[in-house]
Amino acid sequence: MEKKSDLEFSFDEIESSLQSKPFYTLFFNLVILSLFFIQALRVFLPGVYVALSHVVFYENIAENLPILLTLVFFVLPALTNTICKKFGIKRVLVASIYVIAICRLLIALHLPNIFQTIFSGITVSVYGMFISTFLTVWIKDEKIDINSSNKIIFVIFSIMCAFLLDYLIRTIGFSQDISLLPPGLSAEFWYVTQYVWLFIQIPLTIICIYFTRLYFPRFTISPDVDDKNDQDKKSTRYSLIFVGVGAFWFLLFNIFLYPNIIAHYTSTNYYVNNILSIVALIAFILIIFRVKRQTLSNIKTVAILNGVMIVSLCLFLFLGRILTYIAAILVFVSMIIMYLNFYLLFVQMSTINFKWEKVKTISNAFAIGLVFYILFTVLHIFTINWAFIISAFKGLGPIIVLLASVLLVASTIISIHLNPRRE
Amino acid sequence: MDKKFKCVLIALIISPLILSVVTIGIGEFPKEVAPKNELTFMTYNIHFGQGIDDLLNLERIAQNILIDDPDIIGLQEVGVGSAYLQGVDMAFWLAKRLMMNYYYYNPINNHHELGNAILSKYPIVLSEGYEIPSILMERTFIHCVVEVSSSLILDVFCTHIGIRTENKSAQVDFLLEKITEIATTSRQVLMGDFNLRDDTSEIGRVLTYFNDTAAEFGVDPQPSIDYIFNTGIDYIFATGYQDITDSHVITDMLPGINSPIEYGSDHLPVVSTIVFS
Repeated sequence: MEKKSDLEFSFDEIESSLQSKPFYTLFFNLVILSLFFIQALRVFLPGVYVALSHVVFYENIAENLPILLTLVFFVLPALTNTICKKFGIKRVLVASIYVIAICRLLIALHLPNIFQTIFSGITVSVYGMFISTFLTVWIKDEKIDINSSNKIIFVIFSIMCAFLLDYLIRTIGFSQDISLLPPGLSAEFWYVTQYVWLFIQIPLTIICIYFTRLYFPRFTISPDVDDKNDQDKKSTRYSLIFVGVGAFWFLLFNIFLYPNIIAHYTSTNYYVNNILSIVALIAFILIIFRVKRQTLSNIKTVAILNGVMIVSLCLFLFLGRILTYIAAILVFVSMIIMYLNFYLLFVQMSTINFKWEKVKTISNAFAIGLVFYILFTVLHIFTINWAFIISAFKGLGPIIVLLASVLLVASTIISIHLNPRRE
Repeated sequence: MDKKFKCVLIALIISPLILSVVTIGIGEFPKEVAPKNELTFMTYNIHFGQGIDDLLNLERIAQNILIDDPDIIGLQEVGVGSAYLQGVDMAFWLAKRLMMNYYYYNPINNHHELGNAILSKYPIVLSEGYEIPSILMERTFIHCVVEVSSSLILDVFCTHIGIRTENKSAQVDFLLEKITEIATTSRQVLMGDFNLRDDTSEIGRVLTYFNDTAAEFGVDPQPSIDYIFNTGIDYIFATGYQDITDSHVITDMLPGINSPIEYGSDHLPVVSTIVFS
């Protein structure tokens, strides 16, 4: 990883450019804040789902409607640019780090459902602000002597490290991350044991805030004037990227992040699927370090890989219980391609210019992606638990998953195809 | 790059993989329990792990179960891996947490809906799931043959009957016919959430096959879900047994505390202790 390959990616290059402490702070913050985002997104959905159930079944509507209103949080990242114009991009960046760190701490307190859902919603939306402001200053800061490709690999690597940490935590807790499994603890103290994570969360929040105050890189960016001149005429067509991001969140957080559900769909062992899921993530990390971006974003390569992914997913979704371990391995292959698609979408999102400023481009991508994620998730719920409400939806779960996969594939291929600077 | 940082990076990447391999060894073994004739049964609709405070917490469900530490448990509303359940396979999680064997079944076409599970301290030698004819939500019941000892083998059934406009009568008839067809022994225990009061004709028909363990023990019907019926709708029925030594609904999870945090579900666990010859 460290040695200079033909990719010319090196942590040394980033470290020497940023200085040691800012470099470690940046890496730590990116990993930890991404982990908080993953955890918060996972906490948010059960809270909203149960509130929606109450409203659908006419139980405590007044109490549950405010929880449903927290869905508005997912649109907030779209306001990042407006907020940045008022307060300044660097202030918004630092403030978003503080807000995420504090809200995640509040979630760990196991507050009533309404507060837990509110704080997790804030964490998710403010992460959108963080990532859009951070990516903008990270890519635009010309004083940092790192090529843009390596900058993006560094960010993607940090986010994937967060996913690995998430797998690690869920593996310890038998897939329930917030309440870590406390084996053999005395019954009288069981209620206390759910605060095990709080003891980990407190120092994480403190370190996050402390390091940010002292060592977070002080970026310098020039006014955002060039973007509009440089924008591509087909910029609105790039909006498809946003849908792709949403489809990725949906696929990941509804199925592929959970070895349990893959095991269930394929009648295979949870432990094997857990290992395969982690190996898929590690394989993806190695690929982005070892294979040139030009090769990965070659349109023919992308088309072939995505063809393999769609066929694998069809076999998994419709013949999973017959193919068992073959289906599990096909999912493993699909997951690597799915991560690669996300990486390519991320590259497109970060390097091309839309009709807006870059902050707005990225924050809109995040917000629209989240809205699509919610739409697909609700649609998916109507095909399973609530299929009795609209019977036509019954059993359409695999079709919804396939539709999201096709959208992810289409958005990846089309965005690469449309990019005039494609390699 | 600092060597320490390099080590941290490698650890960060490799440790989830190592741990995922190690947990195979840790998690696979249910504890062995000595055979006995007096067995504690529990039926518990766990409401997908969401308590009356609407918070998802499987550890709380585990602790609610451990109050009576039953030998065989019938669980209803058990979810697998969906996003709104934080991706947890609840039957698997609880079985590992309680170190028990388990069998889980839900409708094949509807991967997450209203699954049932049987957890047992003793080996489950045969298991099968069946779909009950349903109009609204797909309902199931499961059958496990539990080998307590070479001389004591039990047929255990767990079900969740429909709600509201569902044809409950047809569902109960199907259930009873199927049990007659598939039972392997005369010692049978039927547990579950029937969504029926004890004075309904459907429960009356169940009682032509089984005895209600609570009634046999001599306790009045106790609410196991109070906000809808103010009566019991979760039952443990049995036949082919020698005696009932206990039957109750667990109402106090945390002694001295009266709070929603106590309850892992909108139902309460129903427990019966049955002696087999």
